[in-house]
Amino acid sequence: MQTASKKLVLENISKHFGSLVAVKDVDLVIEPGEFICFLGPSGCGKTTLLRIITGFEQQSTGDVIYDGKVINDVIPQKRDFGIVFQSYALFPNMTVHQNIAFGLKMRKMPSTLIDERVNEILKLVGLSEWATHYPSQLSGGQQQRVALGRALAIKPKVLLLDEPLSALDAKIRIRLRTVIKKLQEELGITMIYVTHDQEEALALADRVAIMREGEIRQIGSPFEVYKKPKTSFIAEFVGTSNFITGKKSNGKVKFGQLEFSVANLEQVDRETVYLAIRPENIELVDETASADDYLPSNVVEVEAEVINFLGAVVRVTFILEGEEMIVDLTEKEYEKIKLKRRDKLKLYFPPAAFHIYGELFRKLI
Amino acid sequence: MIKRLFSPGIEHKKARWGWVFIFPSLVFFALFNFYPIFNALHTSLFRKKLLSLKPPKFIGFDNYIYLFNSPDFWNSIRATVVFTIGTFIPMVIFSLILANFIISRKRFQKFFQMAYYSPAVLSSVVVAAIWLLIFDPRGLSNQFVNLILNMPGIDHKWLANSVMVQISTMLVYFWKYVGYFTIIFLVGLASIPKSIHEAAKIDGVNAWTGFWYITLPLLKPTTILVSIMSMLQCLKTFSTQYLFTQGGAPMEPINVITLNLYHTAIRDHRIGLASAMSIILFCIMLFFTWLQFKGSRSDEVSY
Repeated sequence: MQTASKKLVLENISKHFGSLVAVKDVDLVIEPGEFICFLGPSGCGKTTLLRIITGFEQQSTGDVIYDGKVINDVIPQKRDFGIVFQSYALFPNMTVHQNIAFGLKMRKMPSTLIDERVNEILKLVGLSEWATHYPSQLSGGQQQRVALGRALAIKPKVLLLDEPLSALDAKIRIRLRTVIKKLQEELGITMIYVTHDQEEALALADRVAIMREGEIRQIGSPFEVYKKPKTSFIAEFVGTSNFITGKKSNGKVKFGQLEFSVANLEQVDRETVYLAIRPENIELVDETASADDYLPSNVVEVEAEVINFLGAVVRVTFILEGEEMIVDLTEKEYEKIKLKRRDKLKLYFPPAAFHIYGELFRKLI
Repeated sequence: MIKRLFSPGIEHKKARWGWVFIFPSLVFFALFNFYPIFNALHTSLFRKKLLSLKPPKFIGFDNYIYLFNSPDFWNSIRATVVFTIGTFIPMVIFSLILANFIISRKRFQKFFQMAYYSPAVLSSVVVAAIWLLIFDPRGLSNQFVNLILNMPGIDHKWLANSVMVQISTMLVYFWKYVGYFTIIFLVGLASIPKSIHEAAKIDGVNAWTGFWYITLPLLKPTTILVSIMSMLQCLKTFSTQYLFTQGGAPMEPINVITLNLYHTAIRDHRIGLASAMSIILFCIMLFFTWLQFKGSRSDEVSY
């Protein structure tokens, strides 16, 4: 239904608000039909970047290029990009049908064609029964579907979504996430999605651009950014990580009384080493396995402080050398050892599971 | 309800304190609003001279019958209606235009708000005095109009001609209150989320279609509020007409109900008849207040 759109290029984009740098030197090529997520914490510049693409903000430096043409001076009305807002931004004085038809009416499309297109969109977003209702008569999820339909009705070259699911409750969010992904795949439309929810970004995107302090810190497939986070900030922000600050000594990392073997440590020439390890990568030592399966230096015995049942996994909090850490056990492992609070458990930190960083990101809270 | 109010529990305790806090204003309203209304209603049924020592004579609805048969009172109704329509319609339209103009400014928004609002804080007497000077045959109004029309030396008789004096009172009122209603429209405009305007832009609106299809319908409750408020304000007009007639302007074209009421009560001492006039004016205003409540309730906009 939708023809593949053209390439969108952001070239050296920066945006200053007085002395504040909201976006800094962003270079990005978005391929036709790609689903890209800007992921980052509040205030990282992701929404500003989205607004620069739509034309609502003018960048301080750099170019927005679409289909080989610089569109810096093209007003939002003429860019033919669609946008879905977090607050839905539906016209409360219009019915669902009128909301979806509005963009087509403004483009002076004949009314018979408008009706045809609106019915098609209503079917696509599953709201055919609600055409004559006003936005105030719909639930949050339904309103966001109307917003999605309205944005798609004008056949945008690029669809931009600014935290579209943030105002919805968890279950509807997951359901709508699937709707968006399906629509993108069916229509083959280029989508740029802004979110602070890493789970949402990983679930939806072809590529995720992690932003911090106005810069893109890492860009890659969800698998890449999750498995190979470039910085400790990304390791912390995308998923969860345990952090260890140690000293390099005798080819190992000294952490309190412990000495961990760490893969690729020889490539690090600093004395202080910052390590990150994901909770699911810490293993529960299998007492029946042979001793050769585990490096003795990386086996620790800890006490379970808090046990959180999260459904598919059980998250156990423990203290290691004064640092609070977590390990994710599978339901099976948990059942097997029948873990209770204050029970001892033996954990193994595989050398290859550590990521080594030059600096340590710490949350303020 | 009284029993519930004195039952124990934190909610009821809060409610009791609520009554304590609103008690002074209830007393104030009862004394200075409700009592005069009922007193006027009572007085309107009597023939009563203001300073007479004779007891008032009950005459039922005779005062009302007299008023509805009086060409003078009908002239007052006409003057009030002409003044109200001639003032409030341009006031609503221009305050809406001004509010849109101010909100579209990137700079000097506060300056414009202050500049347009400032006449509203002046006393009506001061305003009338200023405009008496402006409408003087050698005043600014003649000079300004003659400059535009390129016809020097013509006196447009702002306060002497029966049509011009009506226009003059409208101009004064418009000047005084347009800023006040502009501020109300500004509040209404500011309450429309920015994202709605942005969504409309993406849908391809220009300045005019955006205003017509989005801003104006979303401002409907504010427009109704401003219309009714300005209409009530116009129905109550008094000091401009009073001061203009004191300054020599003809009475008949601008003898609005309140002015007629004042003359009937204070000059002619016919307090019963004046009370009947005030009750009729009260009923007219009550009708429009009811209209306001009805309109604003049915047109609430939720985002």
